[in-house]
Amino acid sequence: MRKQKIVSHGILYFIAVLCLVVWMFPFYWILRTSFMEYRQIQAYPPAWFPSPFIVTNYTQGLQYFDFPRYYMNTIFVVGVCLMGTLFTSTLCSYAFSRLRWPGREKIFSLILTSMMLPTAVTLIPTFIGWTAVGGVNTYLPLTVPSWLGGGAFFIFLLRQFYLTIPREYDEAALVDGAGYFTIYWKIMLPMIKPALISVGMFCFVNNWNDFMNPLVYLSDDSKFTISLGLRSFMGMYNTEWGYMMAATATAVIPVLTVFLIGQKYIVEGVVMTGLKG
Amino acid sequence: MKGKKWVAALLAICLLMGAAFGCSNGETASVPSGSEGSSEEGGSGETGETVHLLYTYWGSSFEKEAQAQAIEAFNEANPGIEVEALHIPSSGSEYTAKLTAMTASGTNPDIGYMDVSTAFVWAQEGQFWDIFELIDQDPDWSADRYVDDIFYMYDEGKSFGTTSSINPRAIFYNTECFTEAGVELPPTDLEDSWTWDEFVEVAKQLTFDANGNTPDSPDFDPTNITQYGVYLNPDDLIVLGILWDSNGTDLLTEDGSELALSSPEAKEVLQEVHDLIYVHHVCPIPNDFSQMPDGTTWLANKQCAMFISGQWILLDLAKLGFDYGIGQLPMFDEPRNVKDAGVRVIFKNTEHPEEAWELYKYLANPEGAMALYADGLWMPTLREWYDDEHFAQWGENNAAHPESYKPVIADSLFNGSATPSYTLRIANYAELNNTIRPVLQQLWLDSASVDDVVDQVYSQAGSLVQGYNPDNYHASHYRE
Amino acid sequence: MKTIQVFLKSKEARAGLLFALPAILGFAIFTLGPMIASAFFSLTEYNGVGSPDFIGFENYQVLFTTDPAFKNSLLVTLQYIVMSVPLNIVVSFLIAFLLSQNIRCRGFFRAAYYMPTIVPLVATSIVWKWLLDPQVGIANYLLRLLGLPVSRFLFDEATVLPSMAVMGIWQTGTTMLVFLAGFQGISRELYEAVEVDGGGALRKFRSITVPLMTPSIFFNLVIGLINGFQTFTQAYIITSGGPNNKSNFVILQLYKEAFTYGRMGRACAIAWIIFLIVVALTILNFRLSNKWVYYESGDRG
Repeated sequence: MRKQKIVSHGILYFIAVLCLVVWMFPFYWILRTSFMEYRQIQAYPPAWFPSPFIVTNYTQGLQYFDFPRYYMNTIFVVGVCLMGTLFTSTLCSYAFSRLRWPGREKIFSLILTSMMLPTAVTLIPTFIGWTAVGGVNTYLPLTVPSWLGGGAFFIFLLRQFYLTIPREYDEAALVDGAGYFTIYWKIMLPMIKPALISVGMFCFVNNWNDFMNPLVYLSDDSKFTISLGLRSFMGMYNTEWGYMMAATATAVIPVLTVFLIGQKYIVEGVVMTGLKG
Repeated sequence: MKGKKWVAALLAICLLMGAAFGCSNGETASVPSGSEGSSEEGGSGETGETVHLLYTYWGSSFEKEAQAQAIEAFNEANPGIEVEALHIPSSGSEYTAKLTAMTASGTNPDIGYMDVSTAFVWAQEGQFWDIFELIDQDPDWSADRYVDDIFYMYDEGKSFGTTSSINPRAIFYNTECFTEAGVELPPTDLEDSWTWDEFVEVAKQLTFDANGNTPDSPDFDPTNITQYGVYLNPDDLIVLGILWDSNGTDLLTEDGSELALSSPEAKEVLQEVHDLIYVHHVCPIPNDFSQMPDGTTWLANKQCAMFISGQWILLDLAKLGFDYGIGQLPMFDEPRNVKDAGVRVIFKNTEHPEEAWELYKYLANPEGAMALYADGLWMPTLREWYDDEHFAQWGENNAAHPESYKPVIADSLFNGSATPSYTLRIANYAELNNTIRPVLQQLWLDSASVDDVVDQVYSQAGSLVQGYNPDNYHASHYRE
Repeated sequence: MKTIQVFLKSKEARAGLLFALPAILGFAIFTLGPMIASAFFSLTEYNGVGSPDFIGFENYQVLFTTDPAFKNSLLVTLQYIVMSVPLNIVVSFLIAFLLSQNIRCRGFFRAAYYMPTIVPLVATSIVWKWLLDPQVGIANYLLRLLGLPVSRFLFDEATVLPSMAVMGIWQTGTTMLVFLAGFQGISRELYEAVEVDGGGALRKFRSITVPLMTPSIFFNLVIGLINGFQTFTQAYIITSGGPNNKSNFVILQLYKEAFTYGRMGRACAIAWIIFLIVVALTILNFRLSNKWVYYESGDRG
């Protein structure tokens, strides 16, 4: 029995590591390219290592790219969105899954439809609206939607999780005299922690990589986010691949680091609270 | 406990509101509203009114830097005008998306680049100034100062803008490839242009497989080619158009009522370009129907000996640092070339058309934005910059412009070989292009015959033909 | 009148409405408003900047009759969805299953598999374009080294969609996380119960894991379908819809209509057609879900 377990574990690791190598390969390619001379990037046979190894893609590329500032801007926007999304999406989906009120199902399915409308079409009317209220070139258009439910996707996702929690929890709490907000805050939130972490992660990534909204709403260089900066390397006639890869690496690596470190605590948190029953 | 958390949540909301509104309050002046309101604000402290203009453009970081410098110089030279240059990062239609949003809400720029196909539609809506009207009002300026054929016409005698550059095509070659193979360099004189057969012969001598065999050798291995004689991306109707023109035919019939691709001449060109890849094996299969392989790097790496492209690649070639030259395009019946480039417009709702016009003239003049010209990205649209004295300032003795630049590219504007491209001449070109190119891709992938693809082009694009744009796109016509 | 009374009386109903209010407001402002606007524009000839001219259902008529590009783009999108959605779900389910096992460095593995999702799509699209380049790409280089037949991948009519579907697997972190969170919710005790009964790993997987994961699978299926219809960036950056329009996704076509040809009205019509198709498919999905999705609380919508 034990031996079998060791063998099966060995296979498990082998598969995990093997997949990982394949999985990580494009990252290696981005890094490799970011240290390469323009000429070598497209050579054949493809070079595995940059030769010469150069850092000018970073030093020169980042000159054009006010990196620290874009970074701070992005962190600010993402942070505000994260707070808004985590708070309002959990609250709203709680209402949509565990509270009974007239019209609930109809409104929920209506809200779901917003996932199905291509963003390209809502772009122009929404922009006109923001212009009318003076929101253009501020972070409002990027952040306010997060404080209004954070999007149907999250509400849908969280509702799915709320639905797996047995009703007895609410009923017991109600008998104890707890209010609905207390039930949400004290009982439900801890129970949906895994989903909450997922939502946080998705929200973070979506906003971090969002290109179209910052492009349309932000005009000042000083307010740009990282994804806008990245696209600056694509020209009318030419694209600076080396710079772009260097900028991609610079934009991604700190996030990955945070994610790698945070992952440990995230996983621990999940295990500790874990839905036991 | 409960109370504390509420306070925290409230604080968070206040922070959000404060931060967001703080941003909007602090810097409302720089909201892209150059066309309205901001001028009153600007003039408050100074003696005279300062006019604010918003100028939008897109391009690489190099272009951004050069444009920013040019605009700064303009602001210094014109104390009454303050131009805000807004660089919009874009890899294609995002620029148009942003401008559409801005224009729909009335916060559009005063002057800016436009995607040509969208610009035609907007011009007919009256969104732009007629450039000829502005030229007429300006006693110091005349349409004669421009090179011929660079006005985008949207109605009889009306133009919504000039091109921002001019882009004749040519053969760009790696000199080393020619010297190593002992092949004579491509011709620089128009009269000496290679015929298509001569061109194919030369390309064969410059194509090698991994064992050093050329396509003429019986041992040649077409699956393992290390150096191609030429890289010609056929997924570009402008280039095909030059060859069609050279073979005495055109995309549309003379009266513009229908496609003209079923003629033997048009089919011959398609067949020959196809054979370049699949019969002679001198040209790589176009892998990518957008930007790769990057011909400039291929040329530098000697992955190809010749690259057929436009004058803008000089910027990249110069950066790559190798010995390159420019030669005349191959021809069928007679040597032909094109003029084409993006457009710069002035929006009709600008409150300051005169100042916008000043900026418009300034941008077309290498005087202010020399780097954009001398580094190889753009070609001047003003005629005077081609006289010897002016030409020396940008077109020679620098890294981007080899000696062969003048006879091949600069002279093509004046010797009659370069004519306006489809972009300028043909109505509804964007849609025709987007419909025809995918069909032709079957030919470039060797999955359909010339007759098949031409039939498909007719059935898919035939109904989209809308004839030619108003035909007096020559500045010279305007004078008459 | 009666509902209002119920409202005022029931504390639960008041709380429900109050808590749902942000989402309702968000929907009204950012979806309903623009939707109504686009429905109106879809009945007009409108270029985004001039004034719209009412033309009735002509846009819809043109799309379904004389415009081959739109029909082709719908077909391409459907083909892509049929390939990529099941592929993504199966692969990310397996990865998530693997990562939910009690292995060392689990956190690291999870982070690693999630990483690609953090990279902006523009950058990944370009990297994949290089890797799969038929002439200079590493994929064909390795195939040649191994003496295997090469492929034109993204630049062949037959292989472009499968290639994109495979590329898509790389960025399924979202799907994977949903599964991971789902696995997290399965109680150990259930597995132990099976072990006590003498059931093996396969039985645990079949009778516990899969049924309890059906809500997550269902969720990913619905989202996958919706996102499949929104596929855009890969094609926009890599192939521009080619070769021969075989990757001309419907959103790419919408973009061309809106921002290349300046036909905002027709773009809105396309949006509404996509919207209606997706709504229909989603409703179908929900209908069918009763047959296979398992909810613990039995309180489903």
